[in-house]
Order: sequence, then structure tokens, then C-alpha cells
Amino acid sequence: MKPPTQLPKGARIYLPDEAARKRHVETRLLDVFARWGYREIVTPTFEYADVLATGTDAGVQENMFKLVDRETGRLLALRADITPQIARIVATRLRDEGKPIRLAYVTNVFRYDEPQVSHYREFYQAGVELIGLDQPEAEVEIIAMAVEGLRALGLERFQLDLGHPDFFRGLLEEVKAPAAAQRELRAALARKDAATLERLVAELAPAAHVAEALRALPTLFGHEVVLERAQAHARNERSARALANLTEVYRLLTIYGLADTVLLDLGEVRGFDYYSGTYFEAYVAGFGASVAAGGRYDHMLARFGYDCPAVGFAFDLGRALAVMEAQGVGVALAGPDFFVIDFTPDKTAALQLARRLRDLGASVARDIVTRGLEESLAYARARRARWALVAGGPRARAGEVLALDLTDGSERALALREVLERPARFFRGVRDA
Amino acid sequence: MKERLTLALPKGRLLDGALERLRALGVDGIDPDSRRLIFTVAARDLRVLLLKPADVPAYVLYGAADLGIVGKDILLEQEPDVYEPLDLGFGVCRLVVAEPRELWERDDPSKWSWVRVATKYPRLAEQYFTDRGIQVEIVRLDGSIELAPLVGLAERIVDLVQSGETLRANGLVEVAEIVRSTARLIVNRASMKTEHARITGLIEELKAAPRVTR
Repeated sequence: MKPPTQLPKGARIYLPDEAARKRHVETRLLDVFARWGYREIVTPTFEYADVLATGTDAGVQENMFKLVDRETGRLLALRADITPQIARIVATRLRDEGKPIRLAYVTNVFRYDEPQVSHYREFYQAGVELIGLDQPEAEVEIIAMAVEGLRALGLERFQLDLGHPDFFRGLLEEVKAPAAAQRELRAALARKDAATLERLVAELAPAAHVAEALRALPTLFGHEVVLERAQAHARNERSARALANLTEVYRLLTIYGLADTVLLDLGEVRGFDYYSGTYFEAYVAGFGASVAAGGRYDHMLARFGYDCPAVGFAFDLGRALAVMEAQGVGVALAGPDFFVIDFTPDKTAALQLARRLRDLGASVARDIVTRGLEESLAYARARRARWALVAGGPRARAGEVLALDLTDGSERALALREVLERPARFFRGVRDA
Repeated sequence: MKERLTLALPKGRLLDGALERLRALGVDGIDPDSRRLIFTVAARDLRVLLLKPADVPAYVLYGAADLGIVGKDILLEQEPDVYEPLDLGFGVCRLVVAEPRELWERDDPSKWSWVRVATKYPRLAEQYFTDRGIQVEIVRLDGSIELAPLVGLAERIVDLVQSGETLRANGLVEVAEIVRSTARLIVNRASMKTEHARITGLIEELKAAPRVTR
């Protein structure tokens, strides 16, 4: 009988090379976050389901992985969105800290979604939350960080889609449609489906200026001119305020030199319900899903008893990796600096070399398996070792080490004593302590 | 450097209409009878793929194609996360429930509590019946759906009809309409943003192109 090896749907393994690429992405993004002064925070993987549900979008709540706490019998859930967790932690534990509070994270997230476009039921996010600022500069800061993150990953041809949910919400209030019709309107808009939108508008028959605005929504999409065109449709206060806010954010982005990387889209109605202000999604050419998304969520912390504005965004690491592969962005996958092969019976040369080089910060793997030199070297190459050091055996004389440069194929016979004394003399990149 | 845009077209009943509409835009030289599956239209800087209709959404969803033309029936069945900015208006047809004439003569759809249907559209069929509180057993087939009731594979079918000729020829009668369909232009979500100017330009041109009558 075959041993059981199946993975549940939506689970994913990262083999060593994939794990190295994933780590590269995490490190690059955390570096960006650190350069902007963000501190890392770690939240629990599981919590009480009702606690996690607070602040989490209804759609996501339905898709939480749930389990039962053996001690209390209470329902637990795996983290399905870290933003409400961080909001609660700030509201309960960090509220007395000076503002703004800048927090960063890399985490796995669990959702019972249908796996699609590089999206799994356990997926990874790297992101930030910026808490305590209601100024538009806060949005601009996270947008600038998202752009810097995309560049740090070596990505090109990306575009940030910028919208404001209140523009549409204001129009919806004017329509005064029943909930089902509102959902249909939203779904048609999410697809930019002008034909269905037209039919729904005709059915709902709102005031003429509202009908006109709804019809225009899928086309309120592009650069600065969109803001002017939208002006004519923003007759209610909520839409007008949304437009004013977006206009200010866009003005600041122009000052930051980032206006070219963003596209305004007032017809984009995706994103979490908890977004209360400007929000964005980052798209990269040739990949059908956003690789990063975020926005303003001013009402979330109040749900935990602390009224405080906030913005945040996150990269989806699985998607970022998929896009990098699609764009042919290489990640250098390094093996150990040294691979030590020792044919002598007592192995003292190998042990001395390995310890000395590791003490200097180099990475050193040993052969240990007894086999022919060529087989050992083939193994070293497969592991992407930079240098092979050989003691004893067919090629190296007593008191000597044969140093093979596995990148250019050159070799040198070196005195073991001298290598142990000053390794840096012989190997570029190794520094003497 | 700008990369060439890729447009996915469905082979079969929508292809003539799509090519006719595209010709107005100067997209020419696509020979549906040749065995080639990829065509380059240098004049419009386009690459055109000919695909099985049901495959068009996947190519666009994953970005292997920036744009595609596909029937609304397939979009409703697959619900791909793509933009759908233009109803091209041609390829009009309807997804219907049909059954053999003998059954129809004594059947009362309002009394259905359980049905077995053969279909290429399992999701839409299931949704239609469950929305009406009817239990449904789906026999998923890939073609010649009309055959199923004739050989006793399923009592009823859910299938696309254009003129109704195929139904009649097989002694089947339409019982209910599920949805109407026309050809739609779909766009990859990222392409819509990263190739915004070129794609909105194409949409405008297609919108303005003379209507195809079929």
C-alpha cells in the first residue's frame, strides 16, 4: 500500500529553492518597511473565532478555518486577515504609545477560498499598518512604500489602481435601492460590465443625475482628467468628500513624483468593506490579480473601543513570486561558500578548516559521505558551492589543501597552515576577523 | 518597449462575428480554416489566438491573453475574475431547459421536485434548479447534449439554442429559459491598468465598429 501523502486543497509546500526565493522577497520587503521606520509585530496564528471575527469583513468571516478549543469548548479560528488583529492589539495594548504607530509584519493567512491565480488557502503576506494619522500624507506614505517594494523586488510595468469606496457609496445612498439590487450594481461595476449596469440603472430608475453618474462609473478611470470628469457627478456630500480626498492624495503623489505609477479608478468597488477612504491595488503587466493592496480604514479601531484613524497595505507573497517568475526576475540562489572534502582518516583538516571559516562568517558544508573525488565535486556543484576544499586523497599532498573555484574551474594547491592563518588572502569575499 | 497585445478568440459559432467586427479595425489575415492557432497582425500590433470557447476565460484570467471574446453563457458558467466592458451584441442565443415532446405533453414544471439533466453548464444548471427548490442531478457532457434524452441518459437537458432547429430535429421542446447570451469582450484585470490607453482605445473602436447582424 502506498503511504498517505496527499495535501489538502489549497495547501502549498515551498521546496528549498522556492523557499529561498520566498525568503528573498520577505527580506527585501521587510528591508523597505524598516527603512521607513516600521517595527515588526507578531500576532497569534489562532484566536477565539468571535474575537477574530470582529472587524473582519463578512465575506472573509465566512471563510475562516475553525477548530474547537479543547479546554473551554469555545470556537477558535485561524487568522484570516491580520489587519483587525493588529487594530485590536493597538486599541488594547499600544493605545498610549505616541502617534503615529508604524507596524510591519510577515505572516501566513488562512482562508477557505477557492484556490486560483497563485492563491492558496494558506498564503503569505508582508505588510504594514500606519496608525494614528488622518492626514492624506498617510495614504501617500504607504503608496510610496508599495512602489518601493515593487521596485525592490525587481518588478517593472506595474500600475497602482487608486479608488475611494465612498464615491460609489454616496451614489448608492442616492439610489435608495434594496440590498439585492445594490449587490448586483456592485458586481456589475466590479466587472466594468457596462451592458448589465445599463440594464440595472434602467430598472432602478434613480434621479437623472445619479443614473448618469452610475453609467459613467466604469469609464471614470485613467489619469488626472478623471478627477475633473468625476466632479460633475459628485453631487451628494459623501461622494464629494471622497473626491476631494482622492484629489488631495493625487496632488501629493504628484509632488512625490509618483503620479505616473497610479491610475485613478472611481469605478473600482473591490476591496474590503472596512476601507473608509482612499484605497489601492497594485497590478503588474501580464498577471491577472493584484500583488499588493491596501487603504484607509478609519473606523476599525473604534470597534475595539479606541477611535483612531489608520491606513495599511500588504503584499501577497505567492503572487509576488509568480509575477517575478513571469517577468523573468532572477533571484540568485546561493549555495554554501565552501564545500570541504577530506580523504584523510582523522579528518582534522576538514574540521579545522570548517571551524575557522565558519568563525569568519562563511558558510561551510562538509562531505562526510565516503566516495570518489569526482562524485563529491559533482555533489558540491549541484549544491551551488562557491569553492571546494580538498584534503588528502588522490590530488592533495600532506599539509596541503586543493582549492577548486567551482564558478570558473580554476584550482590552486595551498598550504593548509597558511589557509588556516589568513583565509582572506586566498578567498575573495572572506574577511579576516 | 511596449509588448504586443494578445487577443483570444473563440473558435466555432462566435468566430465569424468576431472576425467581421475586427476587420473594421483593420485586423485581417486570420484564416479560421488553416490549422494555425496563433496569428500576428502587425498593422495593429496584435497577436491573435484561436481557442476552444470555454478556454478563452482562462487565457485572459491568467494573463496569457490581454483581451478575449467569449459568450456570456461561458462567463456565467465560469465566473472568471476579469473585466467585461463591452457587450458586442452578436452571437445571440439562449440557455434553456428542454425535454422530449412526449414528456413535455404530460409534464408540469411547477411540480418538479427532482430532475436529472444532461448539460455542458453544470454550474448554471444547478443554480437554476436549486434556486427553485428543485433537487438536481447533473450529468456533465461535453457535446451532442441533445442525444442524452433520446438514449435515456437523462430526461432533460440544459443547453444553448440559437434558432431552435437542433432541438426540433431531435424531438425536443423548450420548457424554460435560463439566461440570454451574446458575445462579450473581456479584459485581463492587470492589462486594463498597465495597458490602459491601448486597451481603452481598442474598446472605443470596437464599440464604434459597425454592428454585425448575425
